[in-house]
Amino acid sequence: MSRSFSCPTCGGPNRFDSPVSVLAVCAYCRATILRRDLDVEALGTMALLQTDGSVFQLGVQGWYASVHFTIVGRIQLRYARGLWNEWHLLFDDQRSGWLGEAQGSLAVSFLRSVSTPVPAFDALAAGQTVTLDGAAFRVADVERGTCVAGEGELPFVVGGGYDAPVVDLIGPGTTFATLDFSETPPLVFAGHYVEFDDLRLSGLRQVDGW
Amino acid sequence: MAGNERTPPPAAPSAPSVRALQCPQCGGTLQVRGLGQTSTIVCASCASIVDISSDDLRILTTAANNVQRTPYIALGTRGRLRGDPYEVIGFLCRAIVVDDLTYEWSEYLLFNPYKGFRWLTEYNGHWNDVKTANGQPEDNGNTTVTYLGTEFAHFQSATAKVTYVIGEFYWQVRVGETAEVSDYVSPPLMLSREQTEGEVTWSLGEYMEPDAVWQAFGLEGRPPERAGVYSNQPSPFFDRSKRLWRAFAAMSALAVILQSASCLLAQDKLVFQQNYSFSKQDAAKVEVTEPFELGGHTSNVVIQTTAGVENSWIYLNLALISLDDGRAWDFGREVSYYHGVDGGESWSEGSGSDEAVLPAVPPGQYYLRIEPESDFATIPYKIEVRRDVPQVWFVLVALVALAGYPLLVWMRSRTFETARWSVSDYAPAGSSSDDADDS
Repeated sequence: MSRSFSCPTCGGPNRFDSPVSVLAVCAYCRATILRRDLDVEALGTMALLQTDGSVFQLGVQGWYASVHFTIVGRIQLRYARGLWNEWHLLFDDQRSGWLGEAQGSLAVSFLRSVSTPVPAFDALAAGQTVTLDGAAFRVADVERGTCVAGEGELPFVVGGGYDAPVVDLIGPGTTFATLDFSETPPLVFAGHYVEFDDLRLSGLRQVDGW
Repeated sequence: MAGNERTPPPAAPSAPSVRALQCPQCGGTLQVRGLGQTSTIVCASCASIVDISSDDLRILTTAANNVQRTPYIALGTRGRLRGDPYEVIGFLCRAIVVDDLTYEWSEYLLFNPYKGFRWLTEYNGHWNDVKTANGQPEDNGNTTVTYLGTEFAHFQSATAKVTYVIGEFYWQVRVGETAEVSDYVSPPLMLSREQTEGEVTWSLGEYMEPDAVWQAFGLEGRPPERAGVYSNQPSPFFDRSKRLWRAFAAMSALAVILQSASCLLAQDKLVFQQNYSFSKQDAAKVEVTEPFELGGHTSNVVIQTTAGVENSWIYLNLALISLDDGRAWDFGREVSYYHGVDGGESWSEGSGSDEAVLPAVPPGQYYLRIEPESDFATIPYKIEVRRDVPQVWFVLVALVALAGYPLLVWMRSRTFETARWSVSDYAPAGSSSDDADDS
């Protein structure tokens, strides 16, 4: 399933591990590389990630719902409250998922197709109720964020400065959903809040003194 | 499967634990401990609140604090909570006003780069270990909410205002900033709902013994004395009271079963009866009965006397004597009955019969010796002896005796709960009529 390639800009060895990835950021020169049927194409250079003290990094492994995953990519976003990371997870069953990390809270989500129409971004405000396929969610947050940078491999084309208008929804129990309005129609990601210990993580970044 | 044959890219450096920035207001050093997860820091020297979420530092407020407060746990102190190390990185005070009285409490923000944030809160010597609740509690509509299967009772709602702030935080904190706070309790747990502009967050706290806080952070001296009962402080009586009532139920059931069994198995057998007559002329006469058999096991003997008393009395000196070993049970009984009409009211006193119970008499051959006394000329009387008679009063006495201690603990538990709720939105002041109805 994985596909190795040399970076068109610097020649460094890179690889697409996930079948859904379309963009890779060269681990050596930060070139953004578009995946095509037979070859790859350099698009430009990815902006610099901001130092954020996250203990996650590419290659971190863990478990969610009894399935093993590896972190293969990341997008770093900036919202009013600060930095936010969405880590691209590749599960052993080839499923692609996301681990959201913000202000010390973690959530795992998956792209989901919904049959009900999603309201427009401007029509949404905190406190409203949104129904997705019969399940009621409360709007927790409406944010007009921007992308800082990305790394690793990603299932869409993204770059520093891209708009990231998103709406966070909270469902019953520990369920949540994110409406991502950077594409039309908006993408719906749904999942659960998770506890750090439950992910049984390995390969985390060491923090001095901890 | 990933990354085995890949030439490793340049390794990510380990993350630094502390970042030093310069306060844009006074030039003092800002020690950032939150490693990019915090967005605001209060300058320790000039009390400016600085936005550190991006590289160009921005002043949010200058001279934030008017009154100095000293936290019990200093910024930078590390402790261990639930098995993980945590560092105190922020401290703030918040206050609510209820009936013109200001109540202020403290909140310590704790950080671990892997586990994220938690809080320690302190009010009047009561501590809580608090974490953001990611789930959405369900509103049951009757002033209770359910979270992860536990039902919480609404305790209090108020507007909380930030009154003091030092250290760093993961949001843009401001002195004077307000939030609508509602507390729901299920001791030792507390669920708090906090609403600010456009955002609702829930947190789950667990009551922590002050000594445990001191131990967790290796603090010197003694924790401050606790004042009053805190909203989610576990009652020292609640569990004990529950256990005692369970024990009481078990013992009562046992007593009733034993009693029922003894009633069912009781022989209740009439072993002797005879009519006698007392005569004043024969006052010294002693009656001695025929021997009779007391069967079965060691059990009670009931001696019933019925006397023809009519505004008169008779006193019987009785002795139950064993034919086998001469052992004697001596006792005296009076039978008297008086009645009349006094000022148009009829009255009566006493009764024509009496019952004496000898609790544990071994089986064997016995006889009764009867020495009657009276001032009256003749009084007929009848003696009946019954063996192994069921006694119901015994179980009642046992139940009352057993209930004593559980009742005492239950009353203390009630006093504790009254103290807890006396500072809630449901304090007696608002519901005194209900209380009056109860008593």
